[in-house]
Amino acid sequence: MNILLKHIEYPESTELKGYCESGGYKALSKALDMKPSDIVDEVRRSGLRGRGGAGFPAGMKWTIASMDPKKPKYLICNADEGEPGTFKDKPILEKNPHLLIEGMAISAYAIGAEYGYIYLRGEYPEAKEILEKAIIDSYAAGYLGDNILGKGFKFHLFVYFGAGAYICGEETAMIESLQGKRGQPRIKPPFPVNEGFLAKPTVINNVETFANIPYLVEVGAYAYMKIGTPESPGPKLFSVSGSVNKPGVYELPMGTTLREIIYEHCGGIKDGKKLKAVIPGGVSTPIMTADTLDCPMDFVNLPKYGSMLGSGGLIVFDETADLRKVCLRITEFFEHESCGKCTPCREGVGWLSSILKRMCSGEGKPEDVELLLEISKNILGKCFCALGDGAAIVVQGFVNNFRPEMEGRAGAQA
Amino acid sequence: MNLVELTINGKTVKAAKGATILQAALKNGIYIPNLCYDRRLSPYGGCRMCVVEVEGQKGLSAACSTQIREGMVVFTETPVVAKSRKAVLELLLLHHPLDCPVCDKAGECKLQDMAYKYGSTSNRFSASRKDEPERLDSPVVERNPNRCILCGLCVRICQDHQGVGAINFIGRGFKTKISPAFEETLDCEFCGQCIDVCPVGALGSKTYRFMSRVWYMNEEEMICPYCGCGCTTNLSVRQGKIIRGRGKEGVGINDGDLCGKGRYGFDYIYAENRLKTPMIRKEGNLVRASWDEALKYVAERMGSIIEKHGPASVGAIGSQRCSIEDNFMLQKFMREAVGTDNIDSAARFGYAKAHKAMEKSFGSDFMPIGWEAPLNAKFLLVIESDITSAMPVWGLNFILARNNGAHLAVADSKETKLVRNSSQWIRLVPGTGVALLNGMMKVIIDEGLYDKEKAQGIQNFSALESSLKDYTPAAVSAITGVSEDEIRNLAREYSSAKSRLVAMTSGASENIKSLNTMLAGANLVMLLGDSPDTLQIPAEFSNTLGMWSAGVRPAEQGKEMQEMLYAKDASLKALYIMGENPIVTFHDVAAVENTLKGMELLVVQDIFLTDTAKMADVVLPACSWAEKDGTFMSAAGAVQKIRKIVKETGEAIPDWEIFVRLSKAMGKDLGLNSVAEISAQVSEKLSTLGKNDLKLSFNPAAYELIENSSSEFPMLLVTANILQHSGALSSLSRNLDSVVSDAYLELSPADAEKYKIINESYVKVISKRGEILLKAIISNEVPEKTVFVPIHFAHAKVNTLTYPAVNGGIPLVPVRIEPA
Amino acid sequence: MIVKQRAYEAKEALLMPALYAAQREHGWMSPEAMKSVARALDLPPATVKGFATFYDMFRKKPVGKHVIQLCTNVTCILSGSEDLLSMLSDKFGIAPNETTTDGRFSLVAMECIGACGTAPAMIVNTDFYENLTKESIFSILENYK
Repeated sequence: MNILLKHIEYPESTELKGYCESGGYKALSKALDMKPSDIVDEVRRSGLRGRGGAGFPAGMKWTIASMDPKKPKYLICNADEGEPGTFKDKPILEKNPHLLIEGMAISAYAIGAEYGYIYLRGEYPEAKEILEKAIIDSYAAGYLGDNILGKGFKFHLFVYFGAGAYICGEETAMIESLQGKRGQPRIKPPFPVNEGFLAKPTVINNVETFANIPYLVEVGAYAYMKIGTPESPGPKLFSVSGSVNKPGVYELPMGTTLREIIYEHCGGIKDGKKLKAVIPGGVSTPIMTADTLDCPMDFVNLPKYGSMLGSGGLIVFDETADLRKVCLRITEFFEHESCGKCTPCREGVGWLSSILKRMCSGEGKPEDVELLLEISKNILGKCFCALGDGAAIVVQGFVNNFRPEMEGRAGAQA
Repeated sequence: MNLVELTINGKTVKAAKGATILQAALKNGIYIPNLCYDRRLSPYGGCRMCVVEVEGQKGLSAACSTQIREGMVVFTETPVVAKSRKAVLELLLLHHPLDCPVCDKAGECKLQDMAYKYGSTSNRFSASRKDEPERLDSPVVERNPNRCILCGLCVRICQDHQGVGAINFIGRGFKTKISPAFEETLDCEFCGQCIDVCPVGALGSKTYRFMSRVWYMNEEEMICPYCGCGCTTNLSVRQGKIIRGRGKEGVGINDGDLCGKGRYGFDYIYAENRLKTPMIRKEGNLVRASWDEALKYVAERMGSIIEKHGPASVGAIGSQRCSIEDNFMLQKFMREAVGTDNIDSAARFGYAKAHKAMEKSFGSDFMPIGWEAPLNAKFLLVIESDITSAMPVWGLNFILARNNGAHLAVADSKETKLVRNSSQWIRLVPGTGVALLNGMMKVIIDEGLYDKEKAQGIQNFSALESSLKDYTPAAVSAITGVSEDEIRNLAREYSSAKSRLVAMTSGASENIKSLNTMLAGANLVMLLGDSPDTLQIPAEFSNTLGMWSAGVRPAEQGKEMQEMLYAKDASLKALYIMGENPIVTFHDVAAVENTLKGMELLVVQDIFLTDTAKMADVVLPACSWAEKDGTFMSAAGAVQKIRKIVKETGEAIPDWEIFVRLSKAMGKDLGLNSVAEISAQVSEKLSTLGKNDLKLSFNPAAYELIENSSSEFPMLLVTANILQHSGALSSLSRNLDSVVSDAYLELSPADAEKYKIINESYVKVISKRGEILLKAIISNEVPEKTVFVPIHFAHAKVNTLTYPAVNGGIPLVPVRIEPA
Repeated sequence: MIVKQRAYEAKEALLMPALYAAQREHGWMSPEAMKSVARALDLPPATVKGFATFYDMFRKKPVGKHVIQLCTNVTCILSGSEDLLSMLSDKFGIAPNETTTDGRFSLVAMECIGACGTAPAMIVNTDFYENLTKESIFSILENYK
């Protein structure tokens, strides 16, 4: 499988020259000869689902935004990859920036956007320099600007450097942040596709989603859908970390099983230890037990195993991992990142982490585990955005799948 | 309006399309608990108390942020909903202190009420409470951060509705707190709107701190005594004393909005210099007298003057602060008992100009403002007026209009609050608004942008056209300091807007506008074929329009104010002043003092022992606005009731009643003996207002300064209104005084450098009429060669420097400043 | 005289880059830095402060010459970053979010910096270091004088 990371194997993949030599910007040229609506249709037919976490069909967003009569329209790339365990966008941002630029230019043409922003997380200063240079080079070569490839299409692209707020990965919070406000999610509807940046139609997609576009346009929806599964077509980047022999970013078809990823691609568990648990898609997805290895990693199958695909950032735990502590650390992360707008998230997640803290320090009470479940229930579905939900289902996942260990029963194993 | 029908708790209700469930429910009298919703703000969706069940919808929906749909079925109180609310309350109460026994909000605290309804008393987690110090360091507003539940209403009302942004969320997540930027003492305009919206006791009124439990007070709806907005303020009375003011949703034209004056200014009635008994001057001193004695004295003295010099030797000054009934009786007494038409008021220097402009231009005898007029225009042009200070709550509609997408252009020399909330600031030389308007009209005519058919049919069109010949963009640019392009663009954009509005204030103490500015505004309106009501000039005070309409102005041959007080010949022998303090609030106080000293009889009827009262032969104590029944007419023309909600002070009686008694003492019965009887007669008189046919006419209006700066007096003094005060009345409010208590002089850094003046030092301000001392404030908001002085403070004697003007010239005051 | 066009929306969008510039100049988000941004963009100071304090990377207090930002999220912890953090604390005699008395180093415990595949990892100033060990971390820091 080598589509999204294809160029990276070429020398100087970050440079325009290297990218073009390995076939880059051909799709843009092809796209500009197509009707914008045909590209939107192609993307919709392909069934491409957003790679950021929620898995919303990209073609649907594009269709709605392109049909909205308001102008101008904006295109935003969500490069605020901040969820622990997730580092799949980094190779594209740092080693293959032109793939993203090409994908965005095609998308902009399709939906009729003239301005684009890459909202890059503040913790990626190297990516910022690389992207900014790539953008300058693209302007010089005519892949960005007022008259792209001489075909009369105008698209300007800017990097907007975030400053360390996980919540800005939520699309309405990202728009607020871009407009110079505190990154708090806002009420939907109106959805960004109708009223987004500066109250104009705005499409926000993840880095990896845009990276899929050039290939999709090149080969067409039909060929694209042959990769992956019918409900989750296309290639997927999995970032694997934790107790595996070969952590890293792997490009595999959607639907590849956990077992294949961990044992074939990542070389199995470190030091020959036993697998204990896996978080499949970044820390906001519920933890899974070792007996779920045959689960295909895609949007449809993971929920059947009580979890979600999320961003595709796997964290693998071996038998020595202290899951209670992991659960605490994840909850503390959510507490730290909660924007503070909604009561259940602001107060509830803090309460969860206080309880976990006392459990970890041996001062827990017998009823604490039940209390965790109840507080989680009171957070779940009661907030504005998915951050509080994430904290709640994660705690629920730990308690449901590893209850004896969470209760601190000595020697307990899941 | 498109209506949507839905079912809430089994009841079929209708609401506007696009409304949220919460709005639809509240509109139909169904309460859904909420902690972060306010009708004036866009939905926030943070508190999560307003969750409801919607049929066919998985989980619960937040009513404040879910739009209604046709046929929607909503349940607001189900076991599931109650459980969810209880859970949210438990979370809020983790950190909210349970200090209700010492919290002034107790009894009207939303959190307390909701906890009472849904909450449990068990506590499953003892989280450490927040431990932030109480902040009592700023005037009138106290903050108790520990009680804050982060609903954000205060932040949003301050930023989005008031256009100030004094406080914000600081930090993120659980650690967020609400504070001014740097934990400094809160320093804002102190409107107190944040206190009203706070659902808990995190923000409170400092003047009300520990004054009373809420359940011991009666709340009375009253019309605010200050500006022409005519807001309703809800006054809480305990043991016969007003101790709190606040706004209430759905009450009054202001719908709960209040400025600091309406909220805190009520306590002027408790000022130390309130008059308690009549007084008569004996051997040079004012001494206590009975009513009978005082009235008899006035009747006899007045009678002998009339006999000796004729009724035309008596004059009277009415009050924009007294009720319609009081003013009606004053003029009735003067006309029928005394027989004089010499009746006027301070409005001569203020609203009279607007009235005259409307009369000359439109043939109209009554042109109240439209409360919502700013919301109906796409382009609002404000000429040299900080409407957000002079008419603070009406001013909110200008900010709202801009927030809704209208273009708000403000021509002003100073960076006012309205300027800060505008779309465009046209920074001109003070007093040159009339030239700017003329310049705009010149461009509009030259470029053919006007409504030719309508405009050319209006009387005097050619006179207007030729009067504008000297107002070329180049000439106007030289006068106003605004670039030629800006003048052209303004003219083009204004004339091409879909709907338009020109607005300005007409304060008696303002000296940057004149009759001509208002005439020029009217000319612009007519030139573009707009309706006369697109010129909005509000009457200044709580009953300016009522007083004016009740007949407090010469009807025939009577003397106007200039003749009464500033004329050289001493034809006036007796002056009767009701509720006015000319030697402080009128221009050129030396002249006024001279005239008053020359009176054979000076009667002052007031609620305070003012400086003018101290000069009187007889002083009569009147009831304040909260101690009598009557009506005020707001700038928008609404006749609204004031009521006796507290006992009169000492032996004071209502002004109208003084005239009833005095006329009887003079042997004349005016035939009206109660408010009801007076009201009946007044309303007959008022019912004819605004009924005449309009007759349009252009009135060429030139730009001229009455007095210009010179080498001796190189600076121009601009007298200004500030938001926290209204006339001189508000300076007697201890509450408002705690916000701004003294006059000052603002000047630019360049002038400070030039005249060697240090910030906050005292400066001597000298005009050809006199000199005063003021504290200097160096401000970037002020242009060079100009000084700004607020006019509200009696002791500052700013009117020592000024002079009266009622016609077309701009009465700016040339002054010189030097370190004191 | 001047004509000022006011468009707060557009001005606010400049807040993030303006604050970064101010932080570069002042070293941290001092009240002076925030006030200068408020003045430059003509925004209420509370708006600027509210924005700046929402984002972790705007520093709430002065920092040393070199800022060690060690990731302490899940994967890095699994790979021993907690031990590294306490080693650094011991060596410099400071707790996380403190600065050495000589002003040379500040120690910051970071949330995920996107280096889970090469954990544990840190960012020193703007330089990225991965696969840290107890040995390598000190030799790396030797390069920061």
